Amino acid sequence: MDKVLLLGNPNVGKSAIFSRLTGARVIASNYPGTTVEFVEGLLRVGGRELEVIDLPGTYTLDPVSEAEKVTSRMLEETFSGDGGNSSVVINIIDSTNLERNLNLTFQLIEKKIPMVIALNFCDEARHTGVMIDSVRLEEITGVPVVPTCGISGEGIKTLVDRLGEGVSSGLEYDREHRWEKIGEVVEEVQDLTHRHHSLGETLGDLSVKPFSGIPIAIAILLLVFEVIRYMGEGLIRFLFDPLFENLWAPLMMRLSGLLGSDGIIHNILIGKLIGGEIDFGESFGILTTGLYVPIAAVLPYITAFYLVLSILEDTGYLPRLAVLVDNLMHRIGLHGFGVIPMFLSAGCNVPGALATRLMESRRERFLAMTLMAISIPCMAQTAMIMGLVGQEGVSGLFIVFGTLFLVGLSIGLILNRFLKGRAPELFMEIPPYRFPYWKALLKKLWMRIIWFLKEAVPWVLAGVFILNILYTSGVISFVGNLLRPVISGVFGLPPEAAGALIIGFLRKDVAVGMLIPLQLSSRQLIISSVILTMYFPCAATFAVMLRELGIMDMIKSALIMLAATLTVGGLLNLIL
Amino acid sequence: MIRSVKRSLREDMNRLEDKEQTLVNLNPGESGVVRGVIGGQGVRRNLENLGVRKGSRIKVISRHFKGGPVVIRTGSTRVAIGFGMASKVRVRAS
Repeated sequence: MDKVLLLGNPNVGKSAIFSRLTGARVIASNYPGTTVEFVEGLLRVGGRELEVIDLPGTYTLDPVSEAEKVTSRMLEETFSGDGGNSSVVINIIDSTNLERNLNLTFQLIEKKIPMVIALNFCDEARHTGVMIDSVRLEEITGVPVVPTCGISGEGIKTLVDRLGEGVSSGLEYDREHRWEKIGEVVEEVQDLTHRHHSLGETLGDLSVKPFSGIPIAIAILLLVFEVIRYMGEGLIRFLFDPLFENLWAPLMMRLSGLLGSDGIIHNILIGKLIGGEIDFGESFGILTTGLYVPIAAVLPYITAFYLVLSILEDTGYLPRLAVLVDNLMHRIGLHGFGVIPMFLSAGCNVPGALATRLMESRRERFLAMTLMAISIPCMAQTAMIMGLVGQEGVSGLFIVFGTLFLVGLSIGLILNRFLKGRAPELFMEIPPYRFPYWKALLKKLWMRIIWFLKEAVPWVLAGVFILNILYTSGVISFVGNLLRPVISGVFGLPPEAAGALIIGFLRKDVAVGMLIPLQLSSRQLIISSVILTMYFPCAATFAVMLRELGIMDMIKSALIMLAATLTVGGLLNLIL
Repeated sequence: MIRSVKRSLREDMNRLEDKEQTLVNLNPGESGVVRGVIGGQGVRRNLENLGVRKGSRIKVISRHFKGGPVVIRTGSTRVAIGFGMASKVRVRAS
């Protein structure tokens, strides 16, 4: 099938144009053997179907980073074939940044790639006093040039209509002097009028200056936390709990009756009846707790988290946060951009650990993964901790998350001192603030939710199943007795908490859920929440870390985790 | 030996008179023109891709505490540059 490749610098509004071009069915996939993700969808024009591929944003075709290597390779694969191929590139340009964007365009010209140019953000360019003569640019390059605005949809139809006219440019110049040529072209097609700072720009600059930026960052992070909490709680109270209590519980009670209210199969599917009723928190059957935990307790928070994250991404706030925390992050051996994998891992440690691949050095990746595994609970676990510890008031939550933060910081400071090398420097573009295009945003949110359901639900079901088997066969009480000196002696917890530590390897959220039937005191809940976060990553994160770090570094990382858990758990038991 | 020291001193003096500095010497709000980049091909290429190259007009937006990154504007692009890298960008204040 013929392909349409969307190519452009980062932050040029590619995903909004992609959403405009394609229908509802989009698939995100990784380029084989890499973590570089691209999204595919279908475009129907005049009875033909075209495959539209949204490539990762790149400033250059020189294969410097992995994303650029993938882009170059995909271009080669698509256009190296014989003449019968009518695939085309849409080179998306940020009109407010013509000169810098043309660098990539000219590299496409040099490679003789057939293309159409979309001058995106044409409305924003007009507002900021940038006038680009698209007709003149078309004459110079010889390829169709269409002014577009992905957010309002302006120009998209023309863009689709002119896809068939995509050709490779005949423009010739001395490649050694590409920038000079770009300068000439810009001089010819662009007209700048004087303009004042827009409100967005002023706000954008305020949020990267230390004195105004840090209070803004604190306010935004508090807001993010509150929004996630309110939205998560609201969805649970008004949507998921009623659904489970009023629709699912009666159905399960009938099934329970059919199974005779007891026996192995009953215990695995329904679990224990509490006072003759199903308790979705405590019963621990596959169809009761196993479904309730991922869907009703965790999914609402995941949805809220990814909604907020997508908004922060699409408005352009995250790079500003990276600048503000760069100094602090360097102290713990990372650079400012490291805040992005960390933030991601607060959703789920797996994408967080994968995102560390963007980091240049092995040292940084080791640090980032170890720190996130120790001190950042995923949203699933956070949701359960909020439900359990939060019952007793907010102060317990402060202790849990405050402890984890301090632990991460101290371990980072120590490791940074003792590991050889240092973090590379921050270097990145800070895009202007933009209103997100809601359709692209919802599409991204939807893909993330589906990903979570696919990844999490099977693990939870398996976790609950294995747990039931381990309980029935007496393994848990055996291990509990074995670990009693540590669990009771050091952490001050009942020996049954060993079960939670075992299951925590499968799913941390289920493990926190297992604390519910133990009737722990609030200080025990705090201690167990902290050590459950720290002691070891869940199986999925472990698998990724093992692959990324190799066995030796994974062992080092695990030893750090265990040592930290023993120290911190013991200290908390003494202090609280 | 002495002559070469003298010469390099004179060059330094010229540079000072010429108000030639690096990015980290500029205060927020100050503008300048990039005179060149000290360092290898890689650093230069990276900076070029984001629009920082010889002749670019830049304005410093913010500077962070000791050793923190510098945020500059060139054209309508804003770029954050780590301290070490920023100290390799020679600029003339204007």
